[in-house]
Amino acid sequence: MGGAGGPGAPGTGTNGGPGAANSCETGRIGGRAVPLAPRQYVNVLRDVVGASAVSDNDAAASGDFVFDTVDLPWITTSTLDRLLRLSDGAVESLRGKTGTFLGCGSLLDDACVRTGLSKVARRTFKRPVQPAELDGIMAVRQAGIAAVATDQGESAALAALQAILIAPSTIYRSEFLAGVVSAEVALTPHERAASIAAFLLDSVPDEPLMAAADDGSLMARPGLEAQVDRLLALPRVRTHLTRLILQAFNVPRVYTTPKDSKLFPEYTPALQTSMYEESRRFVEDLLWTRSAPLGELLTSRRSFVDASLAKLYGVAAPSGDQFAATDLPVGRSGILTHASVLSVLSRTEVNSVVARGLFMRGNVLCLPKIPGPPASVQAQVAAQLDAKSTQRELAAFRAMTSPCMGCHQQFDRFGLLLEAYDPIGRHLPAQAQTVDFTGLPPLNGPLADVPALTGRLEQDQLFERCLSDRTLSYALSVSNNSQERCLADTASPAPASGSIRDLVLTIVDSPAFNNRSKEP
Amino acid sequence: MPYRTTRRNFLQGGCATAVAFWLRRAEAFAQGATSPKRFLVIHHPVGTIKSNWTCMGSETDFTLSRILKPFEPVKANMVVLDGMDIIARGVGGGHEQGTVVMMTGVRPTQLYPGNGGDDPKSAGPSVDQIFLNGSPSLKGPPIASLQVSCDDRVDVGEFSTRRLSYSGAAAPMDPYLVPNLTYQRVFGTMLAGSGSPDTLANARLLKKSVLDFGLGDLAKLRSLAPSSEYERLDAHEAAIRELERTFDSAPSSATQCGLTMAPPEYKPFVDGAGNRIGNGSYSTVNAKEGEQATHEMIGKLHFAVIRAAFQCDLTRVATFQWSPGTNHVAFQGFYPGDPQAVKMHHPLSHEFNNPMVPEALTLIDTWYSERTAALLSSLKDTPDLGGGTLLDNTLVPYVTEVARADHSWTDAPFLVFGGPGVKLQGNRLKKYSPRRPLNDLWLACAQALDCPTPTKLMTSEMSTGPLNILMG
Repeated sequence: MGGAGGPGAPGTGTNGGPGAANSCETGRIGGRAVPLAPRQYVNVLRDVVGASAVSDNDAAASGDFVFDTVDLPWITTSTLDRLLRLSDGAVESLRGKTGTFLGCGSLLDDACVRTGLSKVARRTFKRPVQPAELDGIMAVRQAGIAAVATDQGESAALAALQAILIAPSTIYRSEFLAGVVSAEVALTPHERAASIAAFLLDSVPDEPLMAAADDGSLMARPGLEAQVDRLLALPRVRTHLTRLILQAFNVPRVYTTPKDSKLFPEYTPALQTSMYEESRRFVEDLLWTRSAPLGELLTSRRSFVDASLAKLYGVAAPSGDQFAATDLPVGRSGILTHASVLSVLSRTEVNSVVARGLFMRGNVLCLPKIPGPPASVQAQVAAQLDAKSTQRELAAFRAMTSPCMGCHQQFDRFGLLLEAYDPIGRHLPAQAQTVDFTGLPPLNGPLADVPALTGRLEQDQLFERCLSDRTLSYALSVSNNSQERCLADTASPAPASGSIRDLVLTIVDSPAFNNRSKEP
Repeated sequence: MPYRTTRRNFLQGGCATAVAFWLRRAEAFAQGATSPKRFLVIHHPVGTIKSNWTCMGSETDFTLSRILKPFEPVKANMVVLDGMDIIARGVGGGHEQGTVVMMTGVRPTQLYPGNGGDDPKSAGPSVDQIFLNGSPSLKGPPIASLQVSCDDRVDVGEFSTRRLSYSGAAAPMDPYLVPNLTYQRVFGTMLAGSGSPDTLANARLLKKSVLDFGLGDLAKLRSLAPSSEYERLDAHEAAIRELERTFDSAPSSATQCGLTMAPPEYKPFVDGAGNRIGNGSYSTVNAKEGEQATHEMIGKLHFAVIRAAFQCDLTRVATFQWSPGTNHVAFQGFYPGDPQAVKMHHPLSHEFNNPMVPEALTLIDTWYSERTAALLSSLKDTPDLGGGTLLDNTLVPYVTEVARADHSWTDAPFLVFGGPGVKLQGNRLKKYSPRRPLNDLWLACAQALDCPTPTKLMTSEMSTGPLNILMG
């Protein structure tokens, strides 16, 4: 963020107070060619070619997923160059084993090689492959046989395989292959399978999902439920969704969030790792062990601590170096009061009412974005930050000063409620003060502490609705707060008051996920 | 034969094929061909401290300022521009809009969603791509253009500060972040160090057939896709065709191009959970350890590839970004009074009322001057095949996205390097009063590079005419 240097733009929701509606158009998002992100491409290569298809270094250099999509990537020269090299490494990892991979005793056996390649293409193209397409793939192989006559057809077969792996039909998932039906177009069974796979597997469909698309069972509720249940039982899907929730709360940032070592000598890399590990175990337990309602992400005091965290939270330490389940003290309430999240949402030396308030507003409640302070007040803002005032004094100043108050009244109060926790997440009951949310619908009225706030959110399922919307945006690969997101919201699923299974099923069975607008 | 190459293969170098290629090229220049013109944009972040940047003296007799002193070895190839404005009247934040306007010369009108709400989309191609498309002097090499960046950590995931080049409106060209991948792009097309000419030719043919299949597949996809997706798919087609051109050309040996070692592979920016480290927060100033040594190393490695690519005429256009304007590189030893303090550049720059910050920012900007000067000296020390040095024949604007840390865009600091090959008269201090818009520099660059005047850069609010920095 570089300070506001120009006027706001349409669609950024800059003026909406809590509960204010965006000016959304109605309808669905249009059909798209959705490219794989580089990390998804790595997953595809490993799923289709084998675990050793991509080195760990290359995988690490290919980025990580982000929960809040920014924009669909473009396949520019550097990106395609990257994918080409990854595919080159993948096919070379098969050299000497290509016959086994394709199921052919001889790689000069045209029919067998064609069959083997067609199976790969069906998987990566995420749909049945047309004979003409296979002819094209085999033409690459034929060119290979003419060019390299010394290795019994292996280089040729690998070239044909690479042509599949780098083909646009592999790189994109389409959303426009169905015929037009009334004002909307439903995804085909295979497009639906591809979308589900991108959402849950972070890759292309596995064989059972492809089969469910082939026989059409994926289009009916029982078949869809069966596939979702099967996928949610896979460790990789569980890990993926766990990381997705952790990202939604910025937990991974705890590794890179520094603190003043003089003020917080206990905040060591080991403690940072423990903080991450606590939140990971918490989410894993809630989603997969207990299948608990997602609302408990904000309300549950059940968590996992090691000795260092037990000291921070003031609970009994488990024996040895192990983590153990425990109930955190009253005053804690879900992941929002985890040391990880509170540390990330603080400055190096002090808390940040603004950072915590903005996070609550944007990430927990999905209220419209608030723009940064205009350039004209940057110096004043800096002066305030440099003054030796407390966070509460700064917030009080903003609440009484124009133009600060116009925006800060919409989020500072969340941060003030979180003032009862210090920059590394220790609870400071003496700092707790009731905060009056009057004029901030739908919370209107005083709230004594964070548990009171999360209880109030649970009452109206405000957090569940937000998490549902953000997850839908992720599943659709549309941007948070974008006009596309707006279009998705008009048909977003009801908030999932249930478990992660309910949320996933609601999303993948929703019209927003499955239908696209017809091109005018 | 694999597209991927190994370091060992490169270090072997010197095979008959590569030598033949080199000799052919050398002979062409020996027979009177002139050195090609080139264009290289170098970006440093967060503006400057103007009082320590401004040079004193007349146009031809001036003393380099404290921040610019490191450029003394290349002063003869340097023009200091004093009195320039970035005309940013579109949407977007200080560093964000500044980066986009600086590079495209047109005002952005749309924002990317999220990302702090101030992340603009480009409204047109960047100047490097405008010049590339318009100038016959820049066309010809197998790699149309190269984009590199030495760091991509930013505040809130914004797109705009992390990219300099755009092929068109809202069509960013992602830079290479890892020097080894830049190297692979330039020299990894085919094994230059092994195989007979026939084997290499066949292998290239095979790779082309792989890409050709992709072109056919893409055409089919496009025929079915809604028109709203055409632009995206057309950009993909352009990328395939550019990579195909690489296979059309003869292989190059890095060794013959003056690069004796491949950059090492390393795992970039991964945190303890295995997540790619992305964004920081500009409210967090302190960091754990200084990163300037790594930052410098990445810059050197990237630049060595660019220099080698220039030397062998494998590309004539490049953009080099030290870091996004919202720079999160941590510097140690630059904070007055506390040599142990580790501060991230952009977050530190936001401490407007901290009396230590101007000196810290001066030291950091001087650090960038020193490193950039060393890179430019390496161009100056490299003879060009058709005469002069690489620096003589390369036009190098040294730019930044804001004038100062307060995000203002007026009186912004710019330099231009080059020499006779690109019509630049060095050792000049150009003071403009009234100030001139940045597009005036780009219009002069267009002239120097034989590019027809880019009319889109000539709107009355964005330009007044080419700067008078060229010979003749």
